[in-house]
Amino acid sequence: MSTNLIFILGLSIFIPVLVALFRWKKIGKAYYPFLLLLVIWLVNEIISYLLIKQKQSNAINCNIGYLVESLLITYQFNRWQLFNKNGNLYYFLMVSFVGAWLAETFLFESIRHFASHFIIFHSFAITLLSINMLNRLIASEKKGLLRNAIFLICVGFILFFTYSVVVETFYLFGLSASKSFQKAVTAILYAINFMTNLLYAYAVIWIPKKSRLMFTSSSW
Amino acid sequence: MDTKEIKAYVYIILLVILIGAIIMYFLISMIRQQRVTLELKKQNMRAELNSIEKERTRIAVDLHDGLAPIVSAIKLKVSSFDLADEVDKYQQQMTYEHLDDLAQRLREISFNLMPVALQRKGLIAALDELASYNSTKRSLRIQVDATPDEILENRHVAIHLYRIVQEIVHNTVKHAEATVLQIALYRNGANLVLETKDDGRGFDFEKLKDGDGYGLRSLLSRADFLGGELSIQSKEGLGTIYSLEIPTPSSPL
Repeated sequence: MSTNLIFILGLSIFIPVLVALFRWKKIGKAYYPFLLLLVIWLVNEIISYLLIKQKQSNAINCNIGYLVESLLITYQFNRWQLFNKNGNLYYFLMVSFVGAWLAETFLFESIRHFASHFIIFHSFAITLLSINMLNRLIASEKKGLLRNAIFLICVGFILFFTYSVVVETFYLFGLSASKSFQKAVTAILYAINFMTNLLYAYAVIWIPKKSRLMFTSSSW
Repeated sequence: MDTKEIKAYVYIILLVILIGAIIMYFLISMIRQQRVTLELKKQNMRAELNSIEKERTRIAVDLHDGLAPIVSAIKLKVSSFDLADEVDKYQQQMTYEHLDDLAQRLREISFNLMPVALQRKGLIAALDELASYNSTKRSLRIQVDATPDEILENRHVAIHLYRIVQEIVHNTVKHAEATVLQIALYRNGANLVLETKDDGRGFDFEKLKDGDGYGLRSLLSRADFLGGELSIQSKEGLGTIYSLEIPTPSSPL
């Protein structure tokens, strides 16, 4: 898969950002961390493309992106009141992410190498958090789930981060394979990324209006 | 890629498809389960609300048609006593006033439980009565602007809309310190819209405590029951706007 094609697939993150821009005035504050995450993903894609074009590694910006992504998603779950009854878990996860990231990028490895362990760790954690969120939605949501932004976003997280765990695990333990083989495996993740970006765009359409947000059953 | 790698890649692709299938199955079963649960919840809520309304109607009718005439008869009887003693006259007057208060309270309780106008004349008449009652008894002036429509003939919808307005009026009287409450009921395409606007002090959602949400929860439950969307816009000092849009019911709820 060529760099340009990868970049185009990655740029599909621009679609949900565009939808969010159109709906900006109607979007409730509780979804701002997710919207910020979309923008960060977009910026990261552009930086990565530019660096790769100049034959440089995009590991540093990606590693920083992984940390910000993990913290923002956890914060987003907190805004959706997932940790209401277990506030300590929220702080524990935040500290764990920062600790694990610092340990891998500065202690055991270098920030110039992709932090595969951290990717597996935070992807796994986000997948589990998303499943928890879905379980809560089943009990509390009074309307169809396919029009629920939180449900759609969580589905996107589950899909992307599950594959992310698989691909990164392969990277960790399949290094003896050729470059072309590794690229082919990574291409699967890009395809998944493209699909989840479309799903995020659809999810942004269903983000409830500011005033309505106050009256979702989970927020009372 | 050599033959080994191609084989490994095929396995990876199969693994990816398998994981995808498992996730999709998990999500589809989750959506199905939620639909079943939702339908069960709706049925339970429908049964519960209907039985509550039936019970309210029964009590209201008993109070209005059963007890109130008896109290009126006693009042008439008491006033007919021709007493000579001043103390007795005073006691008679006091008894009459107590009975008058009792009759008034009975009417109020009956009215709050289920207005006769809603039962006999429909939603708009009941809203007018509610407006008139509040204008007389309280300092809140209510303006009703409703378009007569055959939709409002649906008794179940009418009762829920009335209860929603009743709760909004209650909130406005209790918390808003408003002088005017405007109520509009109109058709918007295939939907029915109920909008209210007061000139009160408004409120900040963030400052609401857990217990404060009970009335709003009740509004939401009824809005959900009617399959509608309820939005509330409020800012401190700028009043509150409630807006409910429900689909036109094709069959009785």
